[in-house]
Amino acid sequence: MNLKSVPFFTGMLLLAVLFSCKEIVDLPEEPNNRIIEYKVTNVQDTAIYGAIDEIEKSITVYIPFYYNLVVIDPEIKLSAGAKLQEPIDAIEVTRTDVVYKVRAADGNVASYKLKIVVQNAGDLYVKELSTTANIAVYYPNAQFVVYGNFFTKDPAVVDIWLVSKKNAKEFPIKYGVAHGGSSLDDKGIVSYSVNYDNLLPSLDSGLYDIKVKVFGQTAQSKFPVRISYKQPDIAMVGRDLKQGESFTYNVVPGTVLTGIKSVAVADEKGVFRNLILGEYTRTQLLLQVPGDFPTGEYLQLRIEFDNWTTVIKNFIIFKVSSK
Amino acid sequence: MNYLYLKLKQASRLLATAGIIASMLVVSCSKENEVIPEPSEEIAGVTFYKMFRVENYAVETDDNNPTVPKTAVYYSLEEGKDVALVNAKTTRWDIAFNGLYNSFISGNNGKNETNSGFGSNGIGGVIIVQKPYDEVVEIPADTEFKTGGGLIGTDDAGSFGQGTGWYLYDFGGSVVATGADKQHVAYALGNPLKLLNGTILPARTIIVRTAKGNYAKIKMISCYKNALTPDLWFKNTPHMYFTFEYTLAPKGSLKFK
Repeated sequence: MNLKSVPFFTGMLLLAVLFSCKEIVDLPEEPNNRIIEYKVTNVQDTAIYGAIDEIEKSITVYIPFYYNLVVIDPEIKLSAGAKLQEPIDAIEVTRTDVVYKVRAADGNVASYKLKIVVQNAGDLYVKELSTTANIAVYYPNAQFVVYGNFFTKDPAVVDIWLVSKKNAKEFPIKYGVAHGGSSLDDKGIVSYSVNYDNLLPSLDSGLYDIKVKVFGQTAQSKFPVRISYKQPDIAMVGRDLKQGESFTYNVVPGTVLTGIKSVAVADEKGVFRNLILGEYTRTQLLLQVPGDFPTGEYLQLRIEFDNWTTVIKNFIIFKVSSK
Repeated sequence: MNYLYLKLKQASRLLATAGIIASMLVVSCSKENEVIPEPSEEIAGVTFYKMFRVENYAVETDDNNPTVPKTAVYYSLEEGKDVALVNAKTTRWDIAFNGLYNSFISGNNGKNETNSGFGSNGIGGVIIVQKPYDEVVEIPADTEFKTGGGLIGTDDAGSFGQGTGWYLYDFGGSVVATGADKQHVAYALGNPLKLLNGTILPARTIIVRTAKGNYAKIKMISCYKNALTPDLWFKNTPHMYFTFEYTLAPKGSLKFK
């Protein structure tokens, strides 16, 4: 073959190859039922974006603990024309069951599972209130403070239970009006306390462990605390009543009412007359002045119990007048 | 050509005449129907400068345990709807009703620890002024809004007052009206209220900075179901059913109109 013809044939070959590739193969169309952006909006001065995994069909949101987020409020961008099948509320950061279903305009549905990862600063612990030698004692209907590295000062994020040693039953404790505070513990680590205005008034006496759950982590005390009862007491309030009228008294915090036999008031001569004892709860006493009760001023209140010492208290004012 | 010109001139005269007649008809129609367009304005789905009215917005009440605060409820002024409790730490709501009888109102603020929205990014707040709703035009400076929780409720003119409030609580039936059935009545102060001693309390208006920074003024009309005037409010009238009116103004505004 003439060498001069080599470039000619090479060129022809290249042209042939080029023309053989003239068919353009389109990339497969992107599905139109996608979540294309997941933005958490309820964060101060910033936003957190979720990582969208199209292979696993999941969204992972990493939340640093110091944002103290109880819920995330997402703003979700979808493919053009797509819609979420259900309206979305804010989502508690502890939830693991959230799945978003995105319906495209053509009816195709894709599901994305939400994963929320709260990035804590370490392992959760509860500060021991008791020791091997000394079991701490607490009273129902009293303030109760739990310490630990809860990663938050917001008691709404912290779930706390007393777990009965007797039957492993768990009693959730709701936080009260007072919020928590921060303090340094004996190891120099910042700890947080959550104040409870009232430890459950219905708690049975006995030994209980303290269990805490924060942002998905759970910790339990090694040593239990003892719940004990003490002498019931009533918070006195002046009354100006009519014959037949009903009224209530509340207990002094830290005490609860059990086994009441009778309630009476004493006149100036020290003569006690029984009031009608209505239903009472552990924290409130319901009483009624009998319809034929002598009118006048009374000076003392007496409550008799089955198993406690009789309580006698002085009134500031307790007056009964006719109907 | 001249013919065409004349025809065009005729046509234009006819059109002008028809236009005048049509505009006269429009003017006369608008006078007859008294249609006054509301100068409302919608920005990002929120309607401003238009008065909205909410009637009988019910919240949990338990007369047997009056001193136990109920679960707070949240309302979005911008969207005009109740907001589920799970959204407390978001900017989806603008006012919270909490405290005793859920009668204390606050804004949504993420930076105040006592606020239900603490931890979120709400920038709301509330104040109350002794001025009728219609006369509240100026929007106070942002520094004047209070950001705590459960701020505005009972008025000092009644029992258990906590400053200027949106209602007067007549514990003994001795401040506004007498009689056993007038004890424990909560008198909303959206309108002036005459007391037994002859004093007339000026109306109060709540001004809110919403969670997202817009503004609203609110007239609290009643907390009793289907009863909107003091003569219909009694101890046993079903409560708490809030009826109120409000108008929104966009972020950065200095006035409500």
